[in-house]
Amino acid sequence: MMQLFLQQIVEGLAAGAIYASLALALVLIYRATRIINFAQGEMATLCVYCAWQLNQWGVPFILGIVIMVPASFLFGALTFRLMIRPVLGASDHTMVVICIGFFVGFEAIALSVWGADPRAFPRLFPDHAWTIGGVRFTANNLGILATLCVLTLGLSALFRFTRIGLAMRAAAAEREKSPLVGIPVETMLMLGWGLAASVGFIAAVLIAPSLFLSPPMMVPVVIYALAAATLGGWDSPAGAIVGGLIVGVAESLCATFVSVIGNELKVGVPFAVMAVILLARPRGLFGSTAVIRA
Amino acid sequence: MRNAFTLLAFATLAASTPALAQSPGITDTTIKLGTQAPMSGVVAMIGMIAEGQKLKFDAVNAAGGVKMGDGKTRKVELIIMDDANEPPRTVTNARRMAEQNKVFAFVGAVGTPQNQAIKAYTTQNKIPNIFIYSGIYEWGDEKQNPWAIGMVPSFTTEAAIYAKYLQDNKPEAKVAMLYINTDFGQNFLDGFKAAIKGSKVTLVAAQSNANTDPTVDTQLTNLQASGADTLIVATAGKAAAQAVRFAAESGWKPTVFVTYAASSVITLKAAGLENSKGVLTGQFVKPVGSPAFDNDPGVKQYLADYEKFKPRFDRHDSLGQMGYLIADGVVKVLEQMKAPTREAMMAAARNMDKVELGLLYPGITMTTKAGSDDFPIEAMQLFRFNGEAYEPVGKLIDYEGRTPKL
Amino acid sequence: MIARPHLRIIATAAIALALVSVPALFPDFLVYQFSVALTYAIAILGLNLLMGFNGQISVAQGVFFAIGGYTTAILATRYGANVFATLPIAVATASLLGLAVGVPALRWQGLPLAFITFGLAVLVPPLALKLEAITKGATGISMAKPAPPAWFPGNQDTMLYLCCLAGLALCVMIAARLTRGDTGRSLRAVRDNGLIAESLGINLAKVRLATFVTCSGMAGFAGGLFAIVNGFVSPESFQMTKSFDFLVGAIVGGITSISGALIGALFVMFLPDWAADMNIALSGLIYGAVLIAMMLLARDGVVGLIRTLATGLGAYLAQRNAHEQPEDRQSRQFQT
Repeated sequence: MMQLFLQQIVEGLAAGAIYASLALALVLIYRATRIINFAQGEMATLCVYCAWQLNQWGVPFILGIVIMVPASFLFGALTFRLMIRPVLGASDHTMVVICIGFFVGFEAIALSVWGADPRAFPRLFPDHAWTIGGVRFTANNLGILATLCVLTLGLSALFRFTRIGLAMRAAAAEREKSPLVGIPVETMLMLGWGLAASVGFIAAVLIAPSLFLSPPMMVPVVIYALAAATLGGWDSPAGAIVGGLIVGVAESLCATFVSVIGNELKVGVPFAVMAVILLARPRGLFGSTAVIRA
Repeated sequence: MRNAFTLLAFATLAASTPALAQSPGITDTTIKLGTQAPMSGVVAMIGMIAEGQKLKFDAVNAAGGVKMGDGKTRKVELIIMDDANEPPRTVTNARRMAEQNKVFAFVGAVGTPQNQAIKAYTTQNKIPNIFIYSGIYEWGDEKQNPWAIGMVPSFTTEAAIYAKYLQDNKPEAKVAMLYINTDFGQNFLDGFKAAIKGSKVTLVAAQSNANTDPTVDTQLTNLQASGADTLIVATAGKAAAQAVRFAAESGWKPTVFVTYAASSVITLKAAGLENSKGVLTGQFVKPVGSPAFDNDPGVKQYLADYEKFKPRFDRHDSLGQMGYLIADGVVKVLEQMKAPTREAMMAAARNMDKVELGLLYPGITMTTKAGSDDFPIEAMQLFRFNGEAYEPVGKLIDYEGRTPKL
Repeated sequence: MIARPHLRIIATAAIALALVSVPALFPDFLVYQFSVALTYAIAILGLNLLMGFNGQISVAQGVFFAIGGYTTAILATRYGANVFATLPIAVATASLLGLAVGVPALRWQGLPLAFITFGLAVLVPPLALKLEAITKGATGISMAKPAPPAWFPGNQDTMLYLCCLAGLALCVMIAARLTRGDTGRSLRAVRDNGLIAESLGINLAKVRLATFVTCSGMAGFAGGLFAIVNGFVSPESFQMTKSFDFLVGAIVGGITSISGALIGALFVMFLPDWAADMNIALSGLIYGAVLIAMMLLARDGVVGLIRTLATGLGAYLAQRNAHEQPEDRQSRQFQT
């Protein structure tokens, strides 16, 4: 029983890493633009398909990924320029519908070009595994977590210690007033979308091997990622990681040991997590400002 | 005087006999059929069943059409509609196809709740809904569903076949099952439990999954912890691939069965061909791509049609092949129909005498008898994956006339 | 809505006349589809109240819709109740859950509420499957559709359509009463500036909660009608896409408008079909593209676009007439 408990924690951390990856991209786009594009996963899926296609055409796997990082940046920036910039001043509602449009549209593109069958996607990390005390860890999971930590540190540093990071935050938080201090708001927002698209792509590359590449690959992950970001705090990249891990572990433990929930209702864990954190501490575990106004 | 009388008598008789209503959707040269499947959304994979049907009908039309039982040769016009897996949309589509497009019949409609949603409508309006892609037992109940008939083996049949294989080859097997939380998985689980009653095979753990689960590692960890030495995977494509991979990579390496709907070579490729070595499945379709069947006429016909019309699915896609098979069955029914009416279609579908289909595994035929046997396919062959293709294992397991009831 | 009462009455009468003549103008299967669209319109109307006047985004409208639908189906099949008699109970159960969600929702505004309600919406099919004992799980519940009474001149489709229309009319009247007059002013005050509203003596919590409960009650009513019109409910009938459809319908129609609910409902009902007709493989892309295009062109929804055009037209006409009759300019004051 103890061994199962520990193994489920490890599985929960692995699943949590998946949720954390998407959550990081979502937190990033929120921090950089104050818009939550929950279709971030679908955009990332399209980019991963492109990387896969490059590999199919003979381009070495790593090179394909390296090519796609700036390509996804361009993709994100272009999406912003063409479809978000025209409605920047609009209400939350307009943005939500546009994001739903992205959600449905990008998945449809992937579906029509590559079909619905799930495909294998190579892992970035070697296929090693260690068993300690009957509990199994894989190099892949540790690799994902390590990469996420590096990404988080990099992003936090970018936002906290660089001028451009500061400019991006200002542009996001105060769209009307930032131009008064010389910040080119729209350029900053475009940079933010590009950056989020790149980070989203890297995150998707990390988790596609476990999820299998298919057009709706990220759809089941979205609700968990939203819960992770809410738990961690929407303006904290580190919070996204910790939040994701907690949600993952909560899910696997509840599914295994709480029979009332079991496997059937474990998709209710994100809801429960969000309800608890929004009641107890609305700004999230690591969030700094009050995101919710009365 | 007498002639006039006879004429009058004839006229009265003709007027009082109700004229056989001409069924809609059929002319002397064409017959219109309608089908529905989820072509978009999370389960868009299953939509390939509709594309498979289109492939077969395209091929048949290109060869001149179907010579139907009443002597006339007709081309098939297939209308495909997307219901995105939502039963309310299945109903609106069905009504539109029947009332606007005036289809003659529905064929190969996908999904259990989807077909149950249109049951009242098709029964009330006497529209045939033949070869439903759903394996719940009730489609074989003629009284409950006079205008519907299934085709694929009942979910309970497949479960019973796996149980029988275990009883014959691994009698003390400890089985763990991953099942999808829909009518399919639940029926399968119950069917398996019933089939192993009284034998030494035991079901030690069962875990459900849903399409909303990103991975199934939690469930599989629990299944592994139960100490089982056999794993049955009764779930859909992606989760099945994840399960097969987990079973190998975790070091557990049980005997693995995968349901036919999820066991195509494509799924196994995703899981890793090395990891999939030894996977068992029950199938009623010929293994396309297996060297032993390279010269099989049915397989060659399928591949030739595939090359000519290039449908939207991979040639090894088992759901596309399933659609092709269903359409082939429809063609056989059309050939047997004695009259161009809907009643005649149901009669033909309910009285098939050992009908062979191009892609049906040798030895398996479609057999029905009105009043006693309403399950067209009731046999399967077990196959084992050898790392490249499927090889048959053992003999055909035939449940003809004995589909297990829940 | 145009401020001039005469125009509003004429417009409403015209819409009502058009809606009532649908069974006479369209074939049966379209009448059936319109009936379903009307049930969506009721649910979207409730959502408009919530979003347009409470300022909250809810992705859980499908949850209350499902509760209403299942309540009607269970009562009708298990207890043999008359289907129309189940509707008030469907409203009650949905409203009760609306209350349960609405109380904590008071503390959550904007996107966090959207995410939590999304979390709820995802739970509906698994819950329906789990509570198999009453919902019959994956098999779903089939109910006989009510037959038209002997004195009714039309067929079953027409009767059900008119019942849905009556339901919509009822909800429109309720919504109109709530959004005009004193309650309307309270709602608008709460939406535009909560602090000032409170200082004016409006009990913020009470107003918001009441709106939330009304919104969920309407969804429950719509769900019950939906079950009656369809004759079948199952977990797959209420996937999270339903909640998204209602959200999209509300915003595309125009969230501060009652007529927008009908427009939005027709949009989400028929656009996916048209997209699939154009190209079944690319239907998702067409749908997504249309959504984005609509928001780029009409960010406040169709009704918002109409209002903008009407204002523009009115200003143009006013300008023209000002040259001809300067002294009458005062009497022409177009308002939105």
